[in-house]
Amino acid sequence: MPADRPTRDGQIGVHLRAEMLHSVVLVSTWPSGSKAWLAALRKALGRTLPKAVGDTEQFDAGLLLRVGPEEMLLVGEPGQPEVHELVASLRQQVSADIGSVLDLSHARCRIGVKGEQAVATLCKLYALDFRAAAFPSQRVQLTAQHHVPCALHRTGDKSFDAYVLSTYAREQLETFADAALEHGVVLHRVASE
Amino acid sequence: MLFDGKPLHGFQGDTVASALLARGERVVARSFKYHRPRGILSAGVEEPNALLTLGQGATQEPNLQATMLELQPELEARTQNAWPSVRFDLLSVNSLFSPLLSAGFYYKTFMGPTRRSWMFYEHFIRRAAGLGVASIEPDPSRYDWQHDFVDVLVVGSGPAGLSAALAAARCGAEVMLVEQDFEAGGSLLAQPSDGAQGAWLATMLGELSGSPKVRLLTRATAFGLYDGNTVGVLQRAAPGLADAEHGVPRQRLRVVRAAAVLLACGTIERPLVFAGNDRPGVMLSSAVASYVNRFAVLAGRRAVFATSNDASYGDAIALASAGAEVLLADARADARPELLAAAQRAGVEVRLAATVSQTRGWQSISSCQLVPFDLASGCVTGPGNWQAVDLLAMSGGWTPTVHLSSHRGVKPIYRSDIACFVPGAMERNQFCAGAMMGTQTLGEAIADGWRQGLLAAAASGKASSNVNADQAGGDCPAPPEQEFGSTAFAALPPAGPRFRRGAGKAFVDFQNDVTTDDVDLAHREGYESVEHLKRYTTLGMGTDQGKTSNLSGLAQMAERRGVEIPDVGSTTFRPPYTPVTIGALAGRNFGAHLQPVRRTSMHDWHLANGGQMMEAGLWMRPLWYDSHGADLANAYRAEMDHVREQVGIADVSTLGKIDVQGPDAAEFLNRVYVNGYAKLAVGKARYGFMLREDGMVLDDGTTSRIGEFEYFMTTTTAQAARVMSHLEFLLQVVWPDLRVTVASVSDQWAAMSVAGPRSRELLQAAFPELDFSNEAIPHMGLAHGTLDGELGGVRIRVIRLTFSGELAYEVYAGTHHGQKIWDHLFAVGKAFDLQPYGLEALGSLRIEKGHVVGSEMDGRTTLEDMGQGRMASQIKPFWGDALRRREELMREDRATLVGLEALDPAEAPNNGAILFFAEDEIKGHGRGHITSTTYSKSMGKAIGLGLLQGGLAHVGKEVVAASPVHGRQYRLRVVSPLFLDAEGERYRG
Repeated sequence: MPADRPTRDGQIGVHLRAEMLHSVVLVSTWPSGSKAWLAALRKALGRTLPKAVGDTEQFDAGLLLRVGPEEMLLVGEPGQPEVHELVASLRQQVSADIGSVLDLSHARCRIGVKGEQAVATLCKLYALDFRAAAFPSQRVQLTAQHHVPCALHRTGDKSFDAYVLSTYAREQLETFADAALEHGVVLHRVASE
Repeated sequence: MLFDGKPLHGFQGDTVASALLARGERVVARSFKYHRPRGILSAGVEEPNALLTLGQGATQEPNLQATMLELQPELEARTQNAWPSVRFDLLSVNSLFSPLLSAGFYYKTFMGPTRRSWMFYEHFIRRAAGLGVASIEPDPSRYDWQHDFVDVLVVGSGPAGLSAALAAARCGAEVMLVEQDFEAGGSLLAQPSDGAQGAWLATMLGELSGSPKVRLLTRATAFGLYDGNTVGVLQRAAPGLADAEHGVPRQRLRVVRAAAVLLACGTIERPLVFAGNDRPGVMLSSAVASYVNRFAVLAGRRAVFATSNDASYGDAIALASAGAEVLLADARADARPELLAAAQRAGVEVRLAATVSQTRGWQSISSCQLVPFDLASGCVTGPGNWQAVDLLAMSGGWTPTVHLSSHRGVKPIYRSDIACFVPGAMERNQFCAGAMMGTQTLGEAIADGWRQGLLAAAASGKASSNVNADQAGGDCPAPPEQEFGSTAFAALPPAGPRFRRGAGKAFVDFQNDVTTDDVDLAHREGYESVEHLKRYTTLGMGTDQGKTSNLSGLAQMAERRGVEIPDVGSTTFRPPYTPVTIGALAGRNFGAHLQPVRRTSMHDWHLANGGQMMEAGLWMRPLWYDSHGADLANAYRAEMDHVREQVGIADVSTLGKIDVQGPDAAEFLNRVYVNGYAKLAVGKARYGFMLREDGMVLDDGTTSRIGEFEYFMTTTTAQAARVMSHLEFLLQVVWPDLRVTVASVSDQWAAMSVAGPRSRELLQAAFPELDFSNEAIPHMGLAHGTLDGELGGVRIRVIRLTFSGELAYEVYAGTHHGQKIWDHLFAVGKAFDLQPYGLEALGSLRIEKGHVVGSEMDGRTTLEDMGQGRMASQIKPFWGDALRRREELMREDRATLVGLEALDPAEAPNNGAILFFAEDEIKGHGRGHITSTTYSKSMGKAIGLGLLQGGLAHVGKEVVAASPVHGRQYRLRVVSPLFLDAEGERYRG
């Protein structure tokens, strides 16, 4: 896949960036354990958690995405704790009888989509209402393209992070690039699976 | 552009139709069945005649309406359904046989002498009759599709649509306004652009295009209205913009989800039905005006307008003002004085109580007969006279475009006062406005559009339900003066045999060559309901879907039956409103993007090392490696040998992997699997089956206990998603009280199976951090650890289990580390002659061990069928246990798993071959079938697994495997499915 595909008149409307992730930890529980689990997680992370499904909060340990009523995904960046440290520290509060802590660092890749035509590109792939009122910045939506699941995090008006399954990541990147082609697209960095 | 290979010139804004008319082209098509010469009838989407083929070769696209095609330099169009040309078409010989080619002719004539005869005739019939020809080459054009969300979607940019869009936008609603034409304006485009209506249009478009709330899409046809206010919109690229190389599509399918949908689809003018009404030069009245006012084209210089409504006066005056000699025959006995005065001023001669009865002409009209006419009785009241003409403009009233409203199953309602169907009560948040609802004047249409626009905005949540002018930012812009009025919905003149007898064919449906005789015949033969009429005569079928013909057909049938039109009913309109290309429906989802491709960590390694990849579900997996043989048969046998004799490695990352955690995880697994898991020790793995609720086998796999409350489940590749979904269902619906979580970790772990007598040695050398001794990792044992050295920090998980029957281990590492571990194993494995093996060898090795896979667990088999009934626990309940005991599933003569060996070692039967006893007649479904076969070097013959009635009770019996598809039969013997190492000495190591 060429890294640089401008439009006929040289425009670039979309910047794509694919990367493996420093750490991803899924913290979850069962319906009856929700209350204790939230309390434990709040204690582990030190402050208020995302309230509703789709909300996100930034913590020292990483970005916390509430992807289900009893499921949160903690995504860490380089410089933040290593995944095994993160799992261990979360486990101190979220004990096995309270909930589950699962390393998914290898199970997700991130595709960054940024630019004037980011929304125009993504609306080809996902049946989501991208208008600001329906999908404001810092919200995450669970969606799918061709049945391939994706947690799409809006990081700004014209920027998104798509968390996709690792084994589909290369295919998804090609799909994103193809969808963005008419707007002009640059692939900034492709990290192998 | 090129038209039939010759240059066709025009102006920007022309359609191909307007350019052809300007050049004086009359015959532009041949009719479907009789190959009669046909000209341009209309100026819009309703055009039934002027269908052209665009492009050549791979880009060829047939049946495009000249009236909708924008003239552009690079266009290459040609006529179709004629040979050698539309002017001189030898196939017009069909007309000579027209008395034979009545409705139902094919059904009655070509049904014998055998049932297969139609297949023979069809080839010739399709060549002689039909439309254009589609290309069978791959289309190189780019197509795309996308999702849109809006508050209010307005369909149609005529007067009502424009005012509706403005009203909704002023209320704060985000509006998408779609227009199928390449210019917005609808019927206003057919009016003089320098008149009051043109000025009003310019004002409206100015405000709408300046509003940040409005998206105006031209060249965008709303072709279907679906559930939940979802509308399919096909948008065509503007001339010169499509660029496949740069990803710019020629067509884009938009899936629009709107909080409120407002239809302002307008009306379509109806032709009159009289003898010779299909001659080139016979056009719709409004089309004539449209060509004059919008395209500055005179469709004729000596014209007769035959009408029964006011609107044609304006059309006739427009043509007369442009220099034509015009006579207007109004079927009504009276007309408004101001109309008559305006006509007189423009030099239009008006004859009241008169209409046209027939036409003459060779390839186009040369004269028409006008007759005195009584509209009330539908009778000709005196002798007619012939008028020399080169244009006959007709108007039989107007038909509301109710197609989209009908897509939701809303039956149109007949309004006898205006002799047409209008939309019935729409679903919630759906609105209709303007002429399609029967408004009679421009002012009414605009006011109705405004009112419905406000309601749509309120329905979308952007305005209160009783919105006022202040909230809407003022009133609707005042409608322009309408000089000629528009009481356009006139009563239909009866379709008339009284005009036609002995004078030639009178067409009801131009595109399908359906005449009044055909409708009469359908009536005589009992096809009286509208749906029967349609199917018997093909009335209303084809690319135009009867836009100009439906009501005329209904009117005639109603008259023959002596009932009112609504008693005949109306046909059911279904999407699409206009044809949609397959390319647009597919969008970008073809070729490399047809479906997602799932790759393992080692995908590139497989490609670089001769892996011959195959699709396994969405995964790409190496079937075999060409380094082991020139073809599949040789390679997989070599790979099998290597596993049996040395050590091999297979990429099994595709296995489904599920993390199960929680205090009740053991209990959960105990209920899910047929065998016991409650007492599985930490560090141990267990093989088990799980059933569906109906007692059939769902899947098999191994689950390991990682910790007290943590398990690692593997599933087959094919059933990974199904099992995950099954587990979630059980937890959420059946046993919500269990404190368990499940999560797919299929993407987290790369997995490789290291199998063969030397596998332990290899792994011990590769991972000295772990102890691979029999004591440390026994069969079905588990170990994990963190590696040192170059692989420092990489955590691996090892489970000792076998699929091949050899001493074998599954090695798991994080997906991003998979390639590193694979490379490391090969580096260390050089000393052990480590070789990769593919899916074919993997499958063959398991057949030798009698292990079942999806071929055997095909959704119709039980645990007992698999010979695994003893695995089911007798002391604990499990999912599917109750229904697996159904009488039918416990029958002793069910087909159960057996081994099969070829009696002729050289012959390998096919999977799926049907099993018979040697004494059976080879017929029907037999006694079972072969599920898997391979050649076994160990056995020196072809072997297989199969499902045979009575199963192992027939061990030693000879059976015949018949493969009707291949026309072959094989002699086999029934044996145990465990071909190799029955004691398990090899894998116990």
